[in-house]
Amino acid sequence: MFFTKLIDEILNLSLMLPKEILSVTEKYTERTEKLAQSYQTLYGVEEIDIATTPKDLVWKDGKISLYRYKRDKKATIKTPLLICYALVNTEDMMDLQADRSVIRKFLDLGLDVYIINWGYVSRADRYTTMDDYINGYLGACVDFIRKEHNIQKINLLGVCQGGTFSLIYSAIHPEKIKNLITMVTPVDFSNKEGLLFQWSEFLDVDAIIENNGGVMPGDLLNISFDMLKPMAKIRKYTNVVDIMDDEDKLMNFLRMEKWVANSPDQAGECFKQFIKDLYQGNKLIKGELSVGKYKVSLDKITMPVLNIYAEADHLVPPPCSIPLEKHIPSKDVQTYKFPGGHIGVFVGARSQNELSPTIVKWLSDRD
Amino acid sequence: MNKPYNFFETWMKDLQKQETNPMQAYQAYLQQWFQPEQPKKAELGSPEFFQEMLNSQMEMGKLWLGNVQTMFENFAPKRKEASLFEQWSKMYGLWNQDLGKPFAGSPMKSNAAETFSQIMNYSQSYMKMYELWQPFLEQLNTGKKPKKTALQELMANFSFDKYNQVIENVLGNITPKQSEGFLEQINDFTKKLLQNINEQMGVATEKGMGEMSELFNNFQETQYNVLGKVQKGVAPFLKMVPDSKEKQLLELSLKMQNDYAQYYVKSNEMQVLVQQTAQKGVEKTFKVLLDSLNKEPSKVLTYEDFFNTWLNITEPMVIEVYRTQEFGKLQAESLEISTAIKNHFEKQLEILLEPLPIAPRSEIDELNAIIHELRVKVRNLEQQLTEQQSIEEVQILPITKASRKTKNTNSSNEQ
Repeated sequence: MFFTKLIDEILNLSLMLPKEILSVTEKYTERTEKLAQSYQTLYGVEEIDIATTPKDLVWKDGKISLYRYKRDKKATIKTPLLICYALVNTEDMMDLQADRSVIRKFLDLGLDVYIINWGYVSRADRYTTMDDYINGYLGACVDFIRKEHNIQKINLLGVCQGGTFSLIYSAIHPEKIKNLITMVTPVDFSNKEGLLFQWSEFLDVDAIIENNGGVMPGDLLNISFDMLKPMAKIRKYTNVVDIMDDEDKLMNFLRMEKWVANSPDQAGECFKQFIKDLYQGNKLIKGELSVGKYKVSLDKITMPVLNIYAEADHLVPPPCSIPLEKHIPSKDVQTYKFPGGHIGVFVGARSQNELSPTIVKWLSDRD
Repeated sequence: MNKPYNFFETWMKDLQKQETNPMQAYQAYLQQWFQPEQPKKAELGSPEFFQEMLNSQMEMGKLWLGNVQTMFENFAPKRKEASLFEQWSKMYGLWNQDLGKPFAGSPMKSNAAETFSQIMNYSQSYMKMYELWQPFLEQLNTGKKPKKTALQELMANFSFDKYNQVIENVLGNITPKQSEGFLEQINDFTKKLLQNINEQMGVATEKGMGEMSELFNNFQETQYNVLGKVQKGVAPFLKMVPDSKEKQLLELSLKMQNDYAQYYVKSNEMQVLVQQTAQKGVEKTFKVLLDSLNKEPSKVLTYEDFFNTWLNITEPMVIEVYRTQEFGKLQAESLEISTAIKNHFEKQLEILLEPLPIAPRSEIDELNAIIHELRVKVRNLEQQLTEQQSIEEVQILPITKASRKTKNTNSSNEQ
């Protein structure tokens, strides 16, 4: 105590302050204790598990894997659902933890769910193109499920960039898709509300990919994502010390941290086409996009479409997703506004209680 | 928790024990810096002369970078000497180190260690902002209505130096100062290369020195042009050098110097844009808080009020800077340049590894391209095979089913 008072006197700051205001020493002591508590708590944390819903590997080609989630009972919706996540980060976000899992909710509500894992790109994959991903791997997964279930069409759900891939695939192979769901998916790239859309205008993507040995480093992408909300990290890491005594909240935080840190590199050729043809050229909406030997025409999207966008999405702002309905001839299009952000679509309470049941009902009505 | 108090006491005792005055040591260092032993001038036209000339360029390059930094700092918010809390901040930093060391070696599982490292890092910024907030606290939390000149007084006493450190830490990615050591590394490497080439070239090099001395004068015209002209200046010399690994390495090093100079300017420009905006952010924060106190003089403002108001005000302002074409272009250019430097390094490494029985990346890339081509061919053949099997199956099905299948197959968009 003597030392505390001495420091206060030296710094001459404890004078005349209202009791709600901490002196420098008190503030320092408070922070120190919180940091020490954080240290002790984090030291005791066991392995952080994410994506724990049981699943089986059913198909594999190189680094790309297709999983089918295990079910206790037979699915009540007969058409299986394939989830195509983005190449950015991993599909673990769909199954972050048991009580915040879109996958578990889908299973509980009667869906038969498959999911693609894109694996970890290395320099060996630098020449993998959008055609390889969409007509090759995604197409092979679709065909596998069709054959496995002996059906002509399956349900396809695409997330973010995976939504754009799913849309392109459905436009090229409409005969294989019964219902299409796009979640937080960029479609109209002309809107510059999002910083990523603005920045891409100036990017010499050929040079950057070449200089990085043919891949786009995941860490570099994470830096650009951090810049979209420049004060988010100081806010996050300053406040987290206040939840150290709440194990549930802390584990939720750490699971998200683990997911964010897992950021695979991107195959250079695919990344180049995605930036040049979509972010810079907006060719999908213009009807000028070609993927491999196929011309992509949104006029072919005649199947039912559920387009989900997040109202506060800073990665894919609503004006980039909403216009989809204007560019497709399908007579059964529903645009769903989710009141939250890009990540909230998967992990928020509303995701569990409102969005997931809405998706399953929408599929059930069209089964 | 007694640890911090014990640490303080130990730290203060250690300070008292120190016999050498750090300031005196620093002054001695500066004297040595400004009065170096004069090197002997090499004979004009000798290989040593060229070596010295290049060394001079390197030194001037470093000077130029220093001047660029000073220039940008002049554009950045003005400096203010550290406050009473400077010492305290040091203690805090030392404490961080004290706790950080045992932590680094801890068997913490999964990403908890990384999380704690981030918490420590941002805690420093949080506490630095607390120091900056203190004058505000003193002036305004006394229950009296703030003076009309309160904002000017606050800003006059505000340490922008510390504030810029916070901004650098929070926004992290724009830190040109961190890369300054890079130039030195390239310089050292280039010097060694040049020495090797000089040894090999001998007399031929001496003949070229007449032209070089003329160029040397040009280098002194403006500091700005120094790094850009390194390549041009050495170009005639390089023409005389036969193709060799050393020549390739030297060319790549010179490219790196040139790229680095451009990167340095661009990253400084970006930093200034952000720092100027961040200054406006803190000014606006003070103004908003002053206004709220004017409306309600008895209100007590806590640090959290200040911190959250500052974050909420500054973040959209920084985003607006990021949104500008100016920033977008600078960011794209600096990214391209920084990755180009990385590429030059890799090429140099490949040249250096050539004698060893190691397949270089360029050869592996050729293989990767061939493997990719073959995979696509296999995939196409498999698809054709599947389609052929489907057609054969359809032929043995009743006509009605077959026609439906054919119709479905035709609905794709193949060009």
